[in-house]
Amino acid sequence: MPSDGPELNLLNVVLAAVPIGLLIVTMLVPALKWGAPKAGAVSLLAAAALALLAFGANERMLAISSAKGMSLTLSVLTIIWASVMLYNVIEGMKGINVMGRTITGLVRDPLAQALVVGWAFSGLIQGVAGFGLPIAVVAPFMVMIGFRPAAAVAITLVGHAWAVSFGSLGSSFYTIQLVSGVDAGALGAQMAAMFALPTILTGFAVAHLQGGFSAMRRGTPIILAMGGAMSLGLWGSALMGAYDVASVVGGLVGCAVGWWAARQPFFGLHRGTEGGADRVGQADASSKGIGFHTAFLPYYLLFGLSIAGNLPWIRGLGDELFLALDYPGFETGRGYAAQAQEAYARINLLNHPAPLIAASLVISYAVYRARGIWKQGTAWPAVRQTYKQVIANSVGVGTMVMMAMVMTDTGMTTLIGGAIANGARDLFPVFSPYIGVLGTFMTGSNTNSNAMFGALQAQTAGALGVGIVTIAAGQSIGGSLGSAVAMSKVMAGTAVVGIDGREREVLKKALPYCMILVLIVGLQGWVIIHIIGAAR
Amino acid sequence: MIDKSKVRQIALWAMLLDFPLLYVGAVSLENPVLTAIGLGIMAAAAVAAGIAF
Repeated sequence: MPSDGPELNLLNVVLAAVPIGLLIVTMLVPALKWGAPKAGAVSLLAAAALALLAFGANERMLAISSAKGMSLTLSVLTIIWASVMLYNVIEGMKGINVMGRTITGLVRDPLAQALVVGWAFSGLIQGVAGFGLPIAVVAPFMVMIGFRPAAAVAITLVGHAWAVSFGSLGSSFYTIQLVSGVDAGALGAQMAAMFALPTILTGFAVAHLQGGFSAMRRGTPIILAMGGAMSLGLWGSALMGAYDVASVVGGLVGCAVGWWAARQPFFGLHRGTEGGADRVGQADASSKGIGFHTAFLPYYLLFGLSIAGNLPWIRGLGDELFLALDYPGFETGRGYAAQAQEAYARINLLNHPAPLIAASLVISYAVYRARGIWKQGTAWPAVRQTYKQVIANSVGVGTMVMMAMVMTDTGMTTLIGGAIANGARDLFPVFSPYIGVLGTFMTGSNTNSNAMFGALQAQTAGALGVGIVTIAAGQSIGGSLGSAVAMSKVMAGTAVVGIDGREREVLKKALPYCMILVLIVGLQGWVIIHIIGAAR
Repeated sequence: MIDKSKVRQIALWAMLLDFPLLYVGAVSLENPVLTAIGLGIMAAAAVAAGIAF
């Protein structure tokens, strides 16, 4: 429950929920079917009006929160702009078809493709870089290999969600550990163990998205093999204290097991995989001057730069090279204190995805020019196409993130979280992961969700006398799975695959899986606390 | 009459260009007039987005 700020009563909670309610209703109710920019704009105006009229903000506080929202927006939008541009340049080079044909030649079964690329590989990318990069890279990649755009985005959103808490080199894990104040060893081991079930279930969710219940039945052996390996990789890394690479290890072993299993008759997904190498040859031979590895060069570079950017000495150097602004703290007229923020939503020039994508693009351009395969007239059409593609998503991300910041800085979000915690009581372990989802849905970040709600969850668990470690783990796992429905990620996905305006369709696909998976995580936490009897 | 496509672009550019004004007005200078102008532009951009998208 909030220790300061607006009183936790029904009227305040209802008012605080109005902007999110507007956003969800206007986007999901079939009679309205508003796009993200329109729904975001109306929700932002509602949040601003409520902040001024009901939650004690003044014009300056509202302006600071809006500016913080724009800082966060630019951190997200630069990734979207750069990744859409990268895709359009490769498309202009006629490289997309080459990549698509080559990958489908290596793993031909669409279910195996969805599992290896959309589930394990997206988790690997999340482990290496995070910050929206899995969506920016994997969703267009899945379109290249023949998936419909909305399905590609939904599969990537759900597929990478198992890897977020230990992804981005452990930033979400370290945040929940810091704000909840529990022992890192105990939290890491328990969180990784609690991740096993949702990790495997995200595989089944990906299979269901790809081909319904028949795909789930057909894919059960490979999902159990891959999911088991991924969970063991995650858990083993956490046990050794290697929280920052746990998702990387899980993703790597998942890709390896998936690629191997897709070629074994036992798993039933091997048809057509024989002769994969020939297919690569065919794809290369049939293209005009650009082969698979040449077309894939920007992604190789991006992967390499992402790893290099996180090496300790480069990371240390990067900590000094960033774009960010400081923001002052303030206290609203209703007593809610928004903390001062130094270097808020920083864009580290050596490990933020946007500069890395831009660098990959520039280096690739130089290589293409040097080898004489750069197609004249590629750049400007790609720039124009990118500009046209990102307008709606940019407005959508901007308005929604500003709405989220206004709600957070005036205590509205904490009120909603407090209401869930207060109302759930004995069922708190079941509903506590949904608070994590709320944070990620609002801010697009598991790390921000943990920062926003970690202390609240730990305090509530302490007050109710239930296991703080289990609740803290549930918060972070909920936030991780909430990445599947985070609006900024949904919009990034629709932008990079060229279906902006169809966020509702993607959200409707991803939302049921997210809600069910989080319920299972909550029930798992309840069993650990009330049946197994976790005291800590 | 401006078409919707132009209004959409105006909404985006207004939001982006208003960001420095909001920051300078509310944080750097703590100037109520600049802050109010910044908020007014952002509100207008949101209204434009609500209409045009």
